[in-house]
Amino acid sequence: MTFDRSTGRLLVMPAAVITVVFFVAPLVYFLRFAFERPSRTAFSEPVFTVENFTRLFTSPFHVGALTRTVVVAAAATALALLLALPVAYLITKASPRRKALLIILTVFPLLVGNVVRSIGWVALLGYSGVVNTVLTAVGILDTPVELLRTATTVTVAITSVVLPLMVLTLQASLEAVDPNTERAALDLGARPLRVFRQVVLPQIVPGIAAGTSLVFVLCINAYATPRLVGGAQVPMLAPVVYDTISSDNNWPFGACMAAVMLVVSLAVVALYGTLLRRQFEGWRMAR
Amino acid sequence: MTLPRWLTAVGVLVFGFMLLPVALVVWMSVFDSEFLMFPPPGYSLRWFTGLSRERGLFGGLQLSFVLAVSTAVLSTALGLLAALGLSRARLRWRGLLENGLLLPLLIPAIVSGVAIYIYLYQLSWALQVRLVPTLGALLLAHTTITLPWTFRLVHAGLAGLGTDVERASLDLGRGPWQTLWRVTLPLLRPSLVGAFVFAFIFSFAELEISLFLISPGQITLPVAMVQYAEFRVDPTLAAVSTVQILLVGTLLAVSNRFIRFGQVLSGGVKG
Repeated sequence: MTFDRSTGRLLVMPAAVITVVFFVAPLVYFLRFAFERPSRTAFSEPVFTVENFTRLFTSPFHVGALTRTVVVAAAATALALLLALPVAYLITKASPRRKALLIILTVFPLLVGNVVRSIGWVALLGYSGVVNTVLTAVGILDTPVELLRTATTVTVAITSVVLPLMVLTLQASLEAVDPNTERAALDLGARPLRVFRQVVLPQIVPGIAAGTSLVFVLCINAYATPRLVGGAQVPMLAPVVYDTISSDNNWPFGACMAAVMLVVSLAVVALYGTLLRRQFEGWRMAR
Repeated sequence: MTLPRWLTAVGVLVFGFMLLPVALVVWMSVFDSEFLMFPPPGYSLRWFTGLSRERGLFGGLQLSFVLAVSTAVLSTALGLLAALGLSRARLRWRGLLENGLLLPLLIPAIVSGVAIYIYLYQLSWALQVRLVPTLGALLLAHTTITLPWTFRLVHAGLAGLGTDVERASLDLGRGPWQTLWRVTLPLLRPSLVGAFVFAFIFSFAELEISLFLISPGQITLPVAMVQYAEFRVDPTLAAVSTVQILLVGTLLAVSNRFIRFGQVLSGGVKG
């Protein structure tokens, strides 16, 4: 069945209009404020300036938040990749029934949402939380210690939150690897770990690039986990942006930070994919 | 090929790492104590029965449920229309339209939140109508960000159907609209159910955009939960979290045969 062009246009219209009016237009419009001057009496003082950016990159607090966010995101991404590889491989090799179950077990925490899981991490690591209780009961600690509110615990919690997406992306990529290539390498006498490193890994490079860039961007923009696990002691970008806009009512500076996050996220997705793929392509050829 | 045993052990540990926070929240929700203490003095369901007294969290639960249902209806309907137009009519700018509808997937939610908030606020100023914070703004924002998922799911469903059955129906004398109603839509039901469930869950758990669009009296559940958790984490919060966990779990179990969640959620890369 085919519709004529005018009917087709009519069908696409509502979705296109709502996306343009409520998504594309705001995205273009808000950038304007990033280049205006903050004002106490109005939303902004309408003069073109780059002083928001100068302030962002010179204020120690904001440079700290920016650096911390990037470091935590990079660490969480690397950790997630390391943990997701064996799990994704296991899922790929599982029998159909077990595979379906394992995928559900991966999808489930993802869909439950990052707020609930961050709350779980607070309960786990809090002052009277599970870890502290167990460690004091066993005698490793005399009194409970503050485990929350450190960049390390934020990294661990964020890793757990983004892990399912990494697993699913790697698993989709691994499914496409022809098992005969592994069998051939094994028959030729290669040890399993070497087979994985030299035969399987090169074939899933696009999946690794997709998974790491996706997860890195999610980490950079994470709100709930830094807010609840890190709190004010571990300032990271997304909560700082929210406070700047909502509590301080400083639209220009908040818009400036959001613009930086937007550019970083888009650049990572665009660059990382192509660069890393090309580099690994060379690596694959050299072997 | 047999897998080494250490690999299975690692797998169990990693799944534990992903699922432990969720399991812990469910366990805490039945503690018979005001505060968190491990191990609990006893077990009780009183935090569930007393939930309606928690005005903030319970109000959030109600609002988020209504919002998620409305979002799912609107988003699935718009996604269906767009998918029909793009897969069954030869449109100009097809690639642009398809990619444009998927754009919200690419933009970080916190940035979208800032952008939509500033834009609607300024629009209210210009039009002299209050647009933020309103429920309408929340609904439209949630619809826009779930649209990529519903569109993609229904679009893939339509591609999977092919046009043969529809052509057979047309050849046998049904008109295009009757064919659509009697043939295409019934066959498309799995994708539509999947799209609806997806939009519902995403809207229900959405935090970053809602943050900017809620008003003091009308707070969505994730925002209410974050506000509460900044103050304290206790069995009451665990109970409302558990309601969300059970809701998502039920939806996942019911719709699992309609939709391959793993494939939809993966980064979309093969090989």
